[in-house]
Amino acid sequence: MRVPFLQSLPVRLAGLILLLSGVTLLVLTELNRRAVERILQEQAEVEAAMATAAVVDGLDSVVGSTERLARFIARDLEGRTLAGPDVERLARNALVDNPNVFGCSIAFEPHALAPAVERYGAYVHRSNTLNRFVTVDLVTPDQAYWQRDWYREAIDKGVPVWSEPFADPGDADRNLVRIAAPFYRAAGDEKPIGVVTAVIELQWLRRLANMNEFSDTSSVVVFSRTGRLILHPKPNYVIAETMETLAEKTGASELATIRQNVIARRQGVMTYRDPITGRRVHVNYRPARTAGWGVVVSYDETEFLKSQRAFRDIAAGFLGATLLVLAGIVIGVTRYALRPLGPLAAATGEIARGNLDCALPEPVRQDEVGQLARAFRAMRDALQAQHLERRWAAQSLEHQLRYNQLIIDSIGELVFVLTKAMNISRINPAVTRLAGYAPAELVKVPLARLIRLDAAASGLADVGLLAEAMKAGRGVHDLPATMTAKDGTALPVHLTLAPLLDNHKVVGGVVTLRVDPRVLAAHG
Amino acid sequence: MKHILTIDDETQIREILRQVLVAAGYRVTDVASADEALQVVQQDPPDLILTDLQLEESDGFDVIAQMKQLRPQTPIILLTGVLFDPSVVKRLGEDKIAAYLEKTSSLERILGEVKKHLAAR
Repeated sequence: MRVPFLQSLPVRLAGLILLLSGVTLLVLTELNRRAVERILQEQAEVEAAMATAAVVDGLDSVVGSTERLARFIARDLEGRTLAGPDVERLARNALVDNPNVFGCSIAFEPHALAPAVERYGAYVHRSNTLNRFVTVDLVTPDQAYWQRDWYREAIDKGVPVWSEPFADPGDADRNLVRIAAPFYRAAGDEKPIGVVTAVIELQWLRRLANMNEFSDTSSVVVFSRTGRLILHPKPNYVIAETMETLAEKTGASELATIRQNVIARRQGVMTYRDPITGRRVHVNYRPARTAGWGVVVSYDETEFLKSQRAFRDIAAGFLGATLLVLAGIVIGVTRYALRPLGPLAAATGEIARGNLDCALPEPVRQDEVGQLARAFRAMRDALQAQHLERRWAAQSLEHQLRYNQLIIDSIGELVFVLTKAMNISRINPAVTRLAGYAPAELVKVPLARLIRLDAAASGLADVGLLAEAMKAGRGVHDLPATMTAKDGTALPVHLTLAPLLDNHKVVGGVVTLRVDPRVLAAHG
Repeated sequence: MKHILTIDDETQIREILRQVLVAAGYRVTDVASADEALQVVQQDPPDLILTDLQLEESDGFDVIAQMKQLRPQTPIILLTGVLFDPSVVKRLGEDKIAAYLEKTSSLERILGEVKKHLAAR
C-alpha cells in the first residue's frame, strides 16, 4: 500500500524540522527586530532632543541678536538730534552691519524728530538684488505708520514687542517677523518718542531647521507666542495656520497640548498616532528663550524605520527562501535516506499475503536503513527456506502416506486394524470386496461380531481371548476361524494377529484373514 | 555457476528442488524422464546429478549406470521414496552414487550434501 505523500516520513520529518527551525528563526528575527528598533528609537529620541535644542539655540541666537539690535538703536537714539537722512542712514547701516536682519525702520511721534516735522518714519529693507536697499517712506497715506499695530503697541506698552509672523506683499514678497522697540527722548522718560523695528526673514529659519533635521523623516515646526506657524514642512501652513487650527484640522489634539505646554515654558516629549496617516509620531518640543516662540521636532516612526523594516522584509524573504531550500534539502535527503523503507513496507505486505518471491530493495548502503534492508532480505530468505522446507516435508509425508496406503490396499488378504479394545479401526479394500462391508460400517465395531474362532482347531474359546494375547504382545498365527459377511454368508478363514508395538508398548493390533482360494475364486 | 541436473517424475518435487538450488546460487536443469536426463548429460554436462530412483518408463538404477558411463566423475545423489528399502538401495548403488538420501530428509540436509560434493570436486 502506497503511503500518501503528505503522510510520508520524509514530508513529516521535513515539516517538523521546518516548523522548529522556522519558529526559531522567526523568534530570533523578531527579537532582533525589536532590539534594533528600540536602539534606533532611543537614538532617534536623543537626536530629536539635540535637534530641538539646536534649533532653539539657533533661534535664540538670531532672534535674540535682532532684539538686541533694536534695543541698541533705540537707546542710541536717546538724546540725539537727527535729520531725516540721518535716520535713514542709521537704519541702512544697521542692515549693512547685521546680515541676518532683513529690514529696519525708525518712526517718530509727531514733531519728535524736529519741531517743524509733524511725522517722520522710514523703513529700509533689503531688495531682491544683492547688496541693494530699498527705502520706504512710512508717512505716505498707504503706510500711515502711526496707525499700524506694531507702532501703536510698542508706543502704548513702552516695551519691545515681537509681532506675529506676516507676509510682506511688497517688493520682497517674503514671510517676516518684526521686533518693535520704543525709544525715548531721554533715559527715564515715561513716554516714548518713537519706535525702532528690526525685521527678520523667516527663510533663514528653514535653513536652520534643515541643518538640524537629523534624518529625512524628521521635521521642524516653529510657532509664535500665539501659536501661529512660523516654520512648517508644508509651506502653505506657515502664517495661515496655528497649532490650534492644525490640531483641529488633523485631529491631533496633542498639537494644542504642546502649544499649551510651551506657553507654560515647559519642554517635553510626546508620542501620538496621527489620525490622518494612522502612523505613530514622536515629538520633542521646547520653548525658545526669546519672543515666546516654540520649537517642535518630530519624526514619523514608520518613515524613520522604513529602511530598517525594508531590511526586515528582505531578511524575511531570505528566511522564507532559505526555509524552502531547507525543505527541499530535508525532503531530498530523507527521501534518499529512507527510500528503501517504502519498498520494504510494500514487501512486508506481500510477505504477509504469502508472496515470498516479492522484490526487495538492494541493500547497497552501509547505514541503518541499509542494515535494515539486509536484515529484511535475510528474514525473507529464511522465511522462504522455511516455507520450502514445509512444502518439502508436506509433500514427502503425503507421498509416504500415499504409497503406504497403496501397499496396504494392494494386499489380497483381509486386513483389520484393531484398537487395544479389539474394536475395528480400519479395513483394507479386500474386506469390502469379499465380505461386502463398507469401511464406515465397521469402524468401532468389535472384531468378535464378525469373526468366530474354530475353538476345537484353534484352542481358543472365542475371539475375546485374542485380546489377552494382544495385550501380552503375543501374536497368533493361522488360526481357523469363520467370518460372517455382510449378506450373512459364513466364510472360512485363517486368522493371524500381530500386535502393534510402539517402543515395546502395545498400541493396537492387525488381524489378517487368509481366505481359502476356492472361496476367493467364487468371489471373482 | 555450478550446474545441477535434477531428475524426478513428480513436478512438485522438481519445482521445490529448483527453488532451493537456484536460491543457493546454482544453475538448475530439471527433467522428469530418463531419456531427457541422458540428453542433458550429453549436451550440457552437469556438475552434479540429483535423481530419484523411481522414474517414468525407467528404473533409476539403469539411468544411473548410463549417466556414470557418460560422466564418470559427476557425483550423483540419490533420493528415494517409500517404495525402496534404504539399506538395499545403499548396497546396490554403493559404487555409483556419491550419497543416498531419503525423500523425507530436510531440504537443508539435501542442500548440505549438494554443497559438500560440489566443493569436493
